[in-house]
Amino acid sequence: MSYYRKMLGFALLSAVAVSLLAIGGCGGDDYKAGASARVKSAAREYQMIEAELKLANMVKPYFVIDFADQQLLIKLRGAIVWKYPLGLQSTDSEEEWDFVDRFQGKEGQLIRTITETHLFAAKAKTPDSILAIVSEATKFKAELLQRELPQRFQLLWGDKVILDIQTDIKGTPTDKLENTMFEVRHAIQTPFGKTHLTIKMDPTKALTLYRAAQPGFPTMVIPPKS
Amino acid sequence: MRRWVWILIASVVAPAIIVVVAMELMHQPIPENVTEKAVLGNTGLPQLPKDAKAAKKELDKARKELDKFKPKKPYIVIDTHANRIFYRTEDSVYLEATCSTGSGGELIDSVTHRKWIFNTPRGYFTVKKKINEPWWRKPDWAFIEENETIPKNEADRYDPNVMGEYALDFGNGFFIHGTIYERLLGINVTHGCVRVGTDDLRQLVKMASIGTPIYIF
Repeated sequence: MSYYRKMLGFALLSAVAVSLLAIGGCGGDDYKAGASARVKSAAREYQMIEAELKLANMVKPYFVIDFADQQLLIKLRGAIVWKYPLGLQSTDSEEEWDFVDRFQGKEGQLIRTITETHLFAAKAKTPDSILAIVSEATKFKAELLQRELPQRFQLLWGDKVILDIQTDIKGTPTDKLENTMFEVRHAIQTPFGKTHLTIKMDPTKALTLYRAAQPGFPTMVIPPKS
Repeated sequence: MRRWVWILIASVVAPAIIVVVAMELMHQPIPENVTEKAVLGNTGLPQLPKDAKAAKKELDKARKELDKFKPKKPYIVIDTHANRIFYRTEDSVYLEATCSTGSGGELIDSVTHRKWIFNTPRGYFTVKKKINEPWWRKPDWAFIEENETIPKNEADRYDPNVMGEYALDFGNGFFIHGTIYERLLGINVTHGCVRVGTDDLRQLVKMASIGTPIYIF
C-alpha cells in the first residue's frame, strides 16, 4: 500500500512539476514576445524622433498627422503653431492604418512632402467691394489681399495618399472642368476602393492649412495606438 | 460586321484615348526639387544599436535633443495665412486675436530701381525689446510709396501716431504693434510688421517678456 502511495505521490509531484515547467515555459514565450515588442517600439520611436529632429532643424513649418493622439499639427522648430482635432468622418482604425501603410510605403518612409493640392471650391474671406477700397488706400493690389475660405480641398502625397478636407462653407467651384478632370484622373489611377481620409474642419483653420500645405510641405504621420 | 467594329472604335475607344492623353497633358508633374529627397536628403531609417544598454542611451539622447526644441514657457505664434496671433503653450491658448501681416506687395523705386517686397518674415524669433509709446521711423519706401521726397533731416522721418501704445521689437526693423486702422485687421495690409488691436496688444504686452519666442508661419 505504502508503495502505491509513494508512487501516487511521486506521480502527483511529477505532474505539478511538469505543469509548473509548462507554465514557466509559456511565461518565457510571453516575456520574449513582450521584450521583442518593446525593442520594436523603441526602434520605431527612435526613428520618429530622428525624423522630427531633421524637420525641427530646418526652421520651416512641417505637418504632423497624429493618429495616436487624434490631432493634426503644424509645427515649427518642434513647437506646435497650429492644432486641430483629427475629427475623421469615418472612425475606422483600419482606414487609418491603411493610410499610414500607404504613406510609409515599402521603404517605411517617415517623412514625405506634399506633391499636389487641389482646391475644389472656396468663398472669398473679404468681399471684393471692400478690398477695392482697401486696395486704393493701401496701394496694394486687391488680389494680394484676398484670402479664400475653402469649402473643400485635397492634399496629396503621391502613391494614393490623400487627405480630403471639407468645411461648412458654401463656396463656388474654382473650376468645374478642372475639378471633374481631377476626380476622373484619380478615379482612373485608383480604380479599386477608397484612397483618402476625409476630415471636417473649421473654415478659418482650413484656410491656414490650405495656404500652409503647399507642394514641398514636409509631413510626418504618427500611427494609431495599437 | 467590320463596319461596326470601326464605328465602335471611333465612338468609344478613340475619345477615351483622347481624354486620357488630354488629362495626362494637363496634369503638371511635380518638379523634382520639391520631392522629399530633395528637401530632406536621404531619409533612410536610422537604427538603434543592438546592445540594449547602448540602445536605451541612444534613445534617451534623441528624446532629450527633441525636447530641447520644445518651448518651456508660453510663446507667441503668428499665423500669416489667417492673420491670427496667439499667446500659447502646447496645450493652452491664453490669447487669440486678429492681426494684420505683410501683403507680399512689391515696390520699385523708379529713380534708383531699389525693390522692396512687403512680407512678414517667417521662422523663429524672440522679443528683443518692449517699447511704450513707440514712434515710427519711416524708412525710404514709406516716402517713395507716397511720391514724397526722402527727407535729409533724420527728425523728419519720425511719426508718433501710427504704431499704437506699445511695440514688441523682434529684430531687423520688424515689430508687433498697435494700429490706428483697426478696421483693416484681418487683412494682409502691412509692410511686414504685425498689427494688433489696442486691447489685444495691451494683454499681449502684459504677458510677453523679453526673450519670449515668436514663431511666424
